[in-house]
Amino acid sequence: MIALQLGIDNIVQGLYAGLSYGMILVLISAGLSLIFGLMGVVNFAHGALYAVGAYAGFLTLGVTGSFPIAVLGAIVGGAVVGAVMELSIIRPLYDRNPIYQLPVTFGAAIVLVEAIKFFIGSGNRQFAIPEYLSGTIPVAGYSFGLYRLFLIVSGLALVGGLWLFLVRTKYGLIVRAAIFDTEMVESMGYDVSRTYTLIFALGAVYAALGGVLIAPLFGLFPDMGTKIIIIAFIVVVVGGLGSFKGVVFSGLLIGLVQQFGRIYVPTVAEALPFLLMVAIILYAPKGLFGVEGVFTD
Amino acid sequence: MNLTDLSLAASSTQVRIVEARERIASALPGPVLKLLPYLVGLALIVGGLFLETHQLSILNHILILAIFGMAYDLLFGYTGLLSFGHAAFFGTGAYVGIYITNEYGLPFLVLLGLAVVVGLVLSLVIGVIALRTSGVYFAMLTLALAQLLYILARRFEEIGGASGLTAFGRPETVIPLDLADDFQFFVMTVLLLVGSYVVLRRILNSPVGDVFRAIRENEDRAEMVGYSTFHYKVASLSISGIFSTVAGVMFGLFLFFGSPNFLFWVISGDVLLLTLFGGAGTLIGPVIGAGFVVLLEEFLTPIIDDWRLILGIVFVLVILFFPRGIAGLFMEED
Repeated sequence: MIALQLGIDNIVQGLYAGLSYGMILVLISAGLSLIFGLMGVVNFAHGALYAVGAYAGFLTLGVTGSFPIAVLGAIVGGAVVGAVMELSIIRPLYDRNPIYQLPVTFGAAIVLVEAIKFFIGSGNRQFAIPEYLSGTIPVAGYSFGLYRLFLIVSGLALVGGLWLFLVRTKYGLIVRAAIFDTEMVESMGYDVSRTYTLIFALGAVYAALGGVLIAPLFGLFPDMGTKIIIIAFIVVVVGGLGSFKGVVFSGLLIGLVQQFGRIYVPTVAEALPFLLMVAIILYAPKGLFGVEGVFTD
Repeated sequence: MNLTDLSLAASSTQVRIVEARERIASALPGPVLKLLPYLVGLALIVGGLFLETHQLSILNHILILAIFGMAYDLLFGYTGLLSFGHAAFFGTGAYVGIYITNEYGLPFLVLLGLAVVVGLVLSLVIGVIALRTSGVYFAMLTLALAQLLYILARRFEEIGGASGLTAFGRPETVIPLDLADDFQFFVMTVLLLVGSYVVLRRILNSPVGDVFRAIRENEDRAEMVGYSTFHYKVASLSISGIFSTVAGVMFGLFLFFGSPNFLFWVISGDVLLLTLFGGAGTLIGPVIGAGFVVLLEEFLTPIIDDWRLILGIVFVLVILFFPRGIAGLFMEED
């Protein structure tokens, strides 16, 4: 009985932790998928943008002491850095073999991470959970951290918002149309190059949000993006390029896989997402939700 | 005068450089050109005699990375496949070198043979999975597979876990060189560098090399003409993997240390970086690139802690404005 109870305890806690972490993955991967799926750009600096968001939020928190403004700071930081990146290093490469985007964004990632180390320092930083979001809620004998609940809720809201923007607003329609047929949209009078900058900045914003929202849980350090970006790529590949549903589903899935993996098979836990990616590429190369979804329909 | 060279040259400066190169090449007697790699090797060895320990160490580092870079260039510069997982070969080589030397004390040549086998097997495994895709997907797959190895290496305590493996010594060898001595180890590195270059050059100058180039230029057309491009890609990856593993073995023995970090994707990025810097598709480009990157670190480190910041900026600038790298200034892609 006790074993069963412990088992259920593990499952419940695992679900909760996995979903909240998975939501962060969804945010980052949504940004990555936006950029990759819509623009065809492989953004290797996405992990660095995640770190930039966390640090921008951290600095803003230091100055203002307010969590909401810190999140805003992260959004602004992400948007600005993303836009500058697109304008300065991605745009010149549109005419060239797209494979060059990989090394150039890799270089940008190095620059961003080193810049963080240079201006702020290489040590770990702590990011305080705001008062009103700390503590736990007791539900049915379990206690759930309030902040993780906030993560799940805000993650859903943010991703939902992105989806609404792309599917339900006029500008979102222009964005999707511009990717689908750039010339046509241009001949209708819209400035498509601005659209590209917007998409890249938007993708960067979502990475930044992922960074600032997870910072209170795990702290900040300059290299925080280097490992998570690989997981984000896996999420995008597993979910299916250009599929919104896919990103949400696979982000949560992989968050859960990692969490439960850590509990039940700790030796290989870290390897599980990679094995999943290999399996998908071999047997379902378009990803789980490959063709459908907001981006490609 | 080589018309093709001229027609490909983009500016009058480049025309002049090409003309100068042609003139030098035709002025030198044929045998000298053929022996050039060996002469360079000899020059390196003789030059090494005059270097202090620290400088020799830097040069050794450069030459090992040069082997890695040339191997990478075969796949990237000549066959057109961008792998982001070459750290898998390099890191595995380091582990193989140290583990085998520590546990079994096998002689150096046997160790090299083993490295070749391991490199081949690893390339085939990675190739079977990753070569079904191309372009960005290939890059991401190789990345994922290398990261998988990184994770596994960190987990297995038998090979040191997260702290890595330390070598107790270097292997014995029948070649009259004592690898434990820094200078003689350096000589071995030079020998391997020259040997690798000659072999790779041979392969590239052969019909196989031409198929690699064909795949780079237009894989579909190569397929139409009748080549089984998949098999040639596997071959390219295998050769590249083998030489990368050998470079890794030397690196591990050089540092007396093998770490999971040698399998981390940043290493894969670094070899791409130095290949692009030096000039992809030239084979000597990566040698120059390796020198550039290591020396940049050497000179910048005392001045500024964040020399990698400068490296990153320079790298981005090179891709934007000098995509053909340093060697690309004097020669076209081969």
